[in-house]
Amino acid sequence: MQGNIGASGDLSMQLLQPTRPAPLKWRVKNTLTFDYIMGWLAIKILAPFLLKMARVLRLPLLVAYGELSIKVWSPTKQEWTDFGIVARRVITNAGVTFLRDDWNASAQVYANMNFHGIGTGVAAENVTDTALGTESTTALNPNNTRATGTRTTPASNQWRSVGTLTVDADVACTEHGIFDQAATGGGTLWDRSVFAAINLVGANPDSLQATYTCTLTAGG
Amino acid sequence: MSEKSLKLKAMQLPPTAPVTVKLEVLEDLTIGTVFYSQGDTVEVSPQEAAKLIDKYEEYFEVQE
Repeated sequence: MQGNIGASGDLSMQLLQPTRPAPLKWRVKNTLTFDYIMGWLAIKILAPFLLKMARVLRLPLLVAYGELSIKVWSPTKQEWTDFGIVARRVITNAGVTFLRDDWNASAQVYANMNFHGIGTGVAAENVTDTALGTESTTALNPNNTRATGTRTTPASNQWRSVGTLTVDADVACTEHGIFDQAATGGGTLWDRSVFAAINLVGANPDSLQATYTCTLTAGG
Repeated sequence: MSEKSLKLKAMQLPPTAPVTVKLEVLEDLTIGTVFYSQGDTVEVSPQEAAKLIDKYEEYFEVQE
């Protein structure tokens, strides 16, 4: 009598990409700025209180704000660095007019507001901003091209876009913007955020993943 | 197989694309400035989904 016996099975693999928090020094530096503190107070304390009062007193009040989170991928270390929410300012006048124009017989298309640009400008955000201070162009790979976001709806009054930008030159990234066109240097700026410098190394090459979440409350 | 070919080489992997989980809203819920309307479907990160379900289990159902 002859026979064979053997063992068989399935091998599955899972890719684990570790994430570590941003350095404490960076977090302290970014948090202890007037704009960051005011943004936190406005969204975490003031807005919920105002909206609660508006419901009780039947006030016509609508609030809109954006929150920007950043993670950086280092292919050499094979790990993410999570910088968390880096800024909560500011939706621009130009962006609001763009929204109005979309409503006004689609003179613009708000669905196009899905491109992520980064730069090295350090001037504080202002509602009158129409562009980044110093937008990165040839440091991006591909050159002069903003990241196209992946869109989701994380709540009934939120819209989110996640864009990943890869650099092939060193960038001390200090600003981010949401635009309606992929090519750098143009388009309408919906929201500009400024934060403490995040150093991206072109030789690695590092990738910056920006998660922008816009919240529109009801009540207006 | 030669000895050289057995040497391990570190692979450089690209960043992973964001992964999301779809949740159906079973009941109206307001948390601070954010609201969830009954019947709506929201799409969140796995970490956010875990937090929502952990804290507000009766308001959400995970969709396939």
